[in-house]
Amino acid sequence: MINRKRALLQLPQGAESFYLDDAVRHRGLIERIERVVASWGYLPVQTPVFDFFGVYEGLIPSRDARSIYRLIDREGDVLMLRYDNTLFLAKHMGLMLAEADLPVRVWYGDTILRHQDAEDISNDEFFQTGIELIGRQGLDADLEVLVLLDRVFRELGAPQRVVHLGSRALLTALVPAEPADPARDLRRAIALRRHDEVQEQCIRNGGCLPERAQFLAELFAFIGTHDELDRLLERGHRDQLLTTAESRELRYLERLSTEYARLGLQAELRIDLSEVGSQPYHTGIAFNVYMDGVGAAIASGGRYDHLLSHFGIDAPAVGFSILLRKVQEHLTTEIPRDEERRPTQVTGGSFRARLEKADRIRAEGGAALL
Amino acid sequence: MTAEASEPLTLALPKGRLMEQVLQFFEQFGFYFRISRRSLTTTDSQGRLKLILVKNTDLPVYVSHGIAGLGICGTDVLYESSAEFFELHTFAFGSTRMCLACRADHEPGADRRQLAVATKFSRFTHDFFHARGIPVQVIRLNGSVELAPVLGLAPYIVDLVETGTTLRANNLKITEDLAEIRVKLVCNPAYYKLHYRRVNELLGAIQGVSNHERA
Repeated sequence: MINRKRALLQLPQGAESFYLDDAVRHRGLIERIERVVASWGYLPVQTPVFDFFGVYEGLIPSRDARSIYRLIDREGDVLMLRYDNTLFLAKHMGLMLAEADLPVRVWYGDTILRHQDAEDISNDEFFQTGIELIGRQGLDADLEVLVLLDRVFRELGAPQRVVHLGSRALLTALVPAEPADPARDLRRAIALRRHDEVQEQCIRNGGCLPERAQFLAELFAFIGTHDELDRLLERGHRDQLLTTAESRELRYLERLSTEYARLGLQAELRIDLSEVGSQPYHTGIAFNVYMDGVGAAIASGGRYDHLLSHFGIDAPAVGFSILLRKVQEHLTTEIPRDEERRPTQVTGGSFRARLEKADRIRAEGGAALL
Repeated sequence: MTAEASEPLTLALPKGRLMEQVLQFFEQFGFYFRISRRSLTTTDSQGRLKLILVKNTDLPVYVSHGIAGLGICGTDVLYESSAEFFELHTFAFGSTRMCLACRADHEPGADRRQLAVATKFSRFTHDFFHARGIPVQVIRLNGSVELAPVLGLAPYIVDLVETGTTLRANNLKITEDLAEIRVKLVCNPAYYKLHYRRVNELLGAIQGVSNHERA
């Protein structure tokens, strides 16, 4: 049991607070994000702070499940605190939406609560803001999300960032994900770039012959440009090491990266086939954004076409989330705090007179202290 | 805008014997470092790689936080850390053994109901014996683990053994080799994604020397 003094002096692992200038900057950044996404037609949503754990249990990777704070309510049901906005949002959107409502564009910005190891701040996540485009499939929808992400970061001032774009669909073409996610070990080996393990898993779970497994291990380690990927694929096709489904997914990524490049966006996009999505519910594209000076991805996203079907409506969805606290100190955008928002101290006269004077200042867009 | 900066890559390195081995190894492909007695950082003569000298057990923390993009350390230290890295290379040098040891006059098997083990490697010890279905009570120590059986703190220790000289000097014997410990080059995943071309170039040079040594 923690003693009173220690409890007073520190917060539990996984919790965070921010005040004054830090809070002003945080809110300012959120306002900017809201301004951008609202201009793209995204509406705000608010997810509950806690919900029933059992509803989400099968959708949470076991590694993540250990970091979830759980509690028991008065009826004995196990609840979980909001550890990820996407999951909570999926349930509530799934229950609320009908086919006729689609497509729906929403954005969120909220705290998330999860345990974190004291030694591993690379996993620090206290606040998630993001968007979801529900009810749209295909190239235009995927592009919309990638472009909007670029616009948001441009507004926030995030220099030297790169988008690494991969595909869960490529992995699913090799090893079907449903129903028990047998590709979990392979997914982890790919994400950690463990070449030998990927090869072994391709043979064991994907039923590949050694030559094809070796090629796939090389493929899943690929990072580079459209042209570089083309050269690798030429070999794959020549030696008949790729299935039709795998080729289709790779061509789709190439098309997406080509269209992205034509749009003249700020962030470089690299095709990175080790980006296969971290969650069991990912389906199509998967991406992470990295920035110089930050020890972990600053934003992540992808497609999750069947997630909402767990909660009532089978609608495709694609989106991203930004880990704002992770990136906040690296953003170059100036948030006005002192001069423009510094309140004027109103003095002299009765309270009523001071109130009237203060209201005049406020009506002109200023701030006033009574 | 690309993140492939012209600044040197950063590599955390544990101070001590492993550092000497790594520096000798790096000299084979033209990376020369001058390290004064008290310096904690240094950059190679051509400004390509900056070393950050840290305590062995702190290395995963520095790499996980992205303070150093790369790190070289043993799998014993990596196992104890909760962070995940890209493991880019296994070096031929620096390997050692993780062993279970007890007093030379101790009868193994007499205390199989629950093993009491003193060790610096608590996570490894828990996982190893639990995988075998053996309950284990781990007593965490930070150094001079060999003292534990001698002074009666715990009948067993789990520790790194190179030559066995320290064990013998304390009248201890190896009961079992538990794992081979290797020295790895690891990389912070986000750092790799940002600097993969330059990291791969460095890796290519390292692998070139390793292959040459093997041949």
